[in-house]
Amino acid sequence: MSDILQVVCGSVAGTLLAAALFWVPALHVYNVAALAFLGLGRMDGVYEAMPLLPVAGLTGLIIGFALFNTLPAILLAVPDESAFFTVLPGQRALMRGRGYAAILSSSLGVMLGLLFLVLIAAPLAPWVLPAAARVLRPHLHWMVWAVICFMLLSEWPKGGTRGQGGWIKLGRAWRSLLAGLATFLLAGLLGFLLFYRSPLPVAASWQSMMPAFVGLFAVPWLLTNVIGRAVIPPQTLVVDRLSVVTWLRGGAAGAMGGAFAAFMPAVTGGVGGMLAGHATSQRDPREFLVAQGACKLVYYAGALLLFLVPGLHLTRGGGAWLLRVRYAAHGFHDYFAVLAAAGISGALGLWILPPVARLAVRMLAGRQCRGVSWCCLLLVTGLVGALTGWAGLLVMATASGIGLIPVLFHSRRMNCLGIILLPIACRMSGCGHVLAAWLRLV
Amino acid sequence: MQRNTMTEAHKTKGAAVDRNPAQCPSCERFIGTDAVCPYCDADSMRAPTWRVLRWGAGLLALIGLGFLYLMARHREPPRVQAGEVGSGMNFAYVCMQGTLPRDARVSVRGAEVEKLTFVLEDDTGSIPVSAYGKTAAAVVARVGTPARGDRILVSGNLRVGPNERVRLVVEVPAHVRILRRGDSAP
Repeated sequence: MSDILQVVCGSVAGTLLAAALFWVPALHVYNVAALAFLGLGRMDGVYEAMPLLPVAGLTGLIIGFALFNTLPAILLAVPDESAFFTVLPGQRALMRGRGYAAILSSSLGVMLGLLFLVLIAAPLAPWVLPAAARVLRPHLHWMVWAVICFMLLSEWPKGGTRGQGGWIKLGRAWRSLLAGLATFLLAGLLGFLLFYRSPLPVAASWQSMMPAFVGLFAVPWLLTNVIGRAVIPPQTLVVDRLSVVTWLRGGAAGAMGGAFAAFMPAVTGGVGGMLAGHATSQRDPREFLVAQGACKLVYYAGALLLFLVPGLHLTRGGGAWLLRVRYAAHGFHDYFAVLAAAGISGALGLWILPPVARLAVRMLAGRQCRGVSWCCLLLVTGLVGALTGWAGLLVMATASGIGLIPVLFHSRRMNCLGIILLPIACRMSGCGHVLAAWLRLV
Repeated sequence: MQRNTMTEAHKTKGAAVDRNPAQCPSCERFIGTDAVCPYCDADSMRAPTWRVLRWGAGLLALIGLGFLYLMARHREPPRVQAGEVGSGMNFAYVCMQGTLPRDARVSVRGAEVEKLTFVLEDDTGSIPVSAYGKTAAAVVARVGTPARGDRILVSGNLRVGPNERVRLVVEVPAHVRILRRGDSAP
């Protein structure tokens, strides 16, 4: 199969697979990609005969994830009404019947992020990034610590604003903040256990973090949907006009956050988006939605592209780590082939997103999310059990307990990222094994 | 302050279903996510499942972490041989034992040790082993530079690269132990 055909087939297949799968909640692109690579690995000679096919397919999956994952993130994240003022703009839009408009706003951000990546960042990357990486490498460890400190210190109290002053009011104010700190530390401890003495079978090490991430982020979301009785309100398919200024501001902020997160080790797209939002003083909820879409795309696709940049070959993100096992980058030919795959995937994904979103809205509006959430909970539990065994289920259960804390105490779910931020920051600073020895793990 | 009792109207199930959960059922002020009204100390009358879940989540997290910690403390890194390593073991923390077919190499920049590399050979094959930066310097300070013929026990992270090229990366200096020096050692 010629290289052009591999790129086209791979990107189309990846995008269509993403469209079929990623509007199921709790399915992550790296889990699906891992299973796909496992399947391809069982087919003799695929990687040798068609090396660009899996790379293009992974690109299509990632771009498709950035687009279609917005569907469950908005449509199946119905908050309790009392928490309305602490929820994200996407959820607020859903409760006001404008979930479809929110999905399209986010997809406009994805489009802007893709244009930034393909037309601006990627052509400059081979000349700028290798030098930037050499300069920044000795400083990355304290940059990660700075991100951690900002993440923890920037959380604001969500209680203690009403009633008579005193210790009780102070306690109510600090409850969510202490819950956030506890989440970060407990997740960090779990991270140390998984990094230094993982209980998972050795043969399942390639998915060592999957049970933890499923437990920290997916299970609490699904569990609260199952327990709650919230109904997705009726939705309108009317779409607001979005001004060019709002679109560009949101897209630029999201692209900045995504690029920062893609380059930095251990920093994910959510953290990058939070930093960019603070840096650009975002207030408009539509701008926030556009920024989220741009950040997600630039983070996931950018992290993959960093592995392919000639002269750099930086491994960031689960996609690059998966690819690295089977594939060695071959210079500008492969780099531009992947950019082409990104463009094809983006165009196809943006074309099929609106009808898929309309179908999802028609199917889900006016219904409870309990049924879908039950099915997804069983699906992810089965997946974790099948890939990692009972030890993985124990890790998932523990992580679920940790992940429920921010949901129930109204603190930031981002603090769960302590599972990778804390061990990696300690390791980069050279004190990882010291702390592990103090914990008697080594 | 004594908790105010609920008014009769709010005790009926129908009223509870129609009631805005963000409002106090007693004084009807906005209380948001508070479980107890900060103005009149009335209970928010939210479903008890959520309160049970709060305590349950914390207990699950602490008990689960406790079990995982005990498992970790009593679990040695699994012992594997070079020929057994596959792509599924990427990132695994394992222990390997073998002999060096040739002297280890130490890369130095200025006065600092930058990198230590050697090949570990056992009955099933061989695997390159690396240590970087301060870890490499600490290994060299503790056990010296491993030489040909040395029998070594080493633990580290497996890294699987393109074409399933595998290497072992040492993270903890104390996890490199020379069991027996080779013929070339003084």
